[in-house]
Amino acid sequence: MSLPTDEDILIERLRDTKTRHDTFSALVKAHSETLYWHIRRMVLDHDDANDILQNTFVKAWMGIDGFLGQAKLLTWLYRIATNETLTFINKSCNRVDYDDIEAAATSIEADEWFDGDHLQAQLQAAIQTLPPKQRMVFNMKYYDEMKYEEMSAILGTSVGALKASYHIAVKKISDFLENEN
Amino acid sequence: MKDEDKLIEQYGKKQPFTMPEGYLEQLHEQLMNNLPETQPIATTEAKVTLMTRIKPLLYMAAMFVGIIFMVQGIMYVQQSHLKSDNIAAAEELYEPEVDDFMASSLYSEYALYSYLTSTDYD
Repeated sequence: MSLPTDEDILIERLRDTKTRHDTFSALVKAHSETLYWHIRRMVLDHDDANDILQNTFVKAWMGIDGFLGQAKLLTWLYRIATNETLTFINKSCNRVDYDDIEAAATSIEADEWFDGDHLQAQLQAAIQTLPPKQRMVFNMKYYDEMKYEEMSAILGTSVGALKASYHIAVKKISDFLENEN
Repeated sequence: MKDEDKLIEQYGKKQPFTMPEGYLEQLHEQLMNNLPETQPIATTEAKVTLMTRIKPLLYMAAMFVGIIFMVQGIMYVQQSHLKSDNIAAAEELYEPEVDDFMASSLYSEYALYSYLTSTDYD
C-alpha cells in the first residue's frame, strides 16, 4: 500500500480501524529512515537508535486516536522521536566531556557502523559535547538542512531561539575543533 | 555565516555513519508483526442521576425563594418606615378641638365632615 499524498485522507485512514494497520505500515516505510537518522545522530549507537525508533513507532501507534491532526503527521512523529531520544539521553547521561573528546573520537571510529575518517569522528565527538537540545538543533540544521520554522514546530521553541542556539552551537564546535587541532 | 562555512569546508556534511544492510525492511517487518492492540478511546458517558437532573431546578427554586424573601424584607422595612411616618403625621395633625367634638358622640359623621370643612374651623 502506498501512502496517500493528502494528509487528511491519510489521517482518516489511520483513524479507521479497518485501514489503520495498512496505512500505519506505509507510514513506517515512508518515514523510518528519516527518523532513524534523526535519532542515530543524537545517540550515535545503532542499537540504541533502533530501540528508540521502535519505541517511537509503538507510541505513535498507541496514540493514533489521540492525534487530532493539529500538526503534520511527520512533525508529530518527529516530536515523539525527539522526546524519546531526549529521555534516553537524560537517562543514560549520553554526553561527552571536553576533556574526553579524543577518547570519544577514537570510540566513535571503532564503531562497526562508522565509515568516516578521524576528522569526522572528531566533529561527531565535538557535537556530543553540546547540551542535548542544542545538539539536536545543530544536527537538524547542519545535516538535515531543515528550515527553522519546521524545527520550531517539532521542538516547540521559537525561531529566534533556534537561530541563536544554532549559532552558539556552531561557534562552540568551531572553537573546540580549532583548539583540538 | 563564517564559522559554519569553515565547518562545512573542513568536515563536509556527509553522514559518517551507516546502518546494517536490510535494517529498515527488518525493522518494518518486526514492528508491524509486534504492534500491540490499540484500544478505542473510552467514551463512557457520565451516569445522569435524578439529583443531577433536578439540580438546576432546585437551584432556580432556591434563587426565587431568596428573591421573594429579599423583596419581602425590603417591603417590611419600607412599611415600618411608612407606619412611623403615619404616626408622626397623625401626631402632627392632633388637635384638641377634634377630640372634643368626637367626645360628644351626638354628632353624625356628616356633621363631623361639615365641621371639619367649615370655614369656622379654619
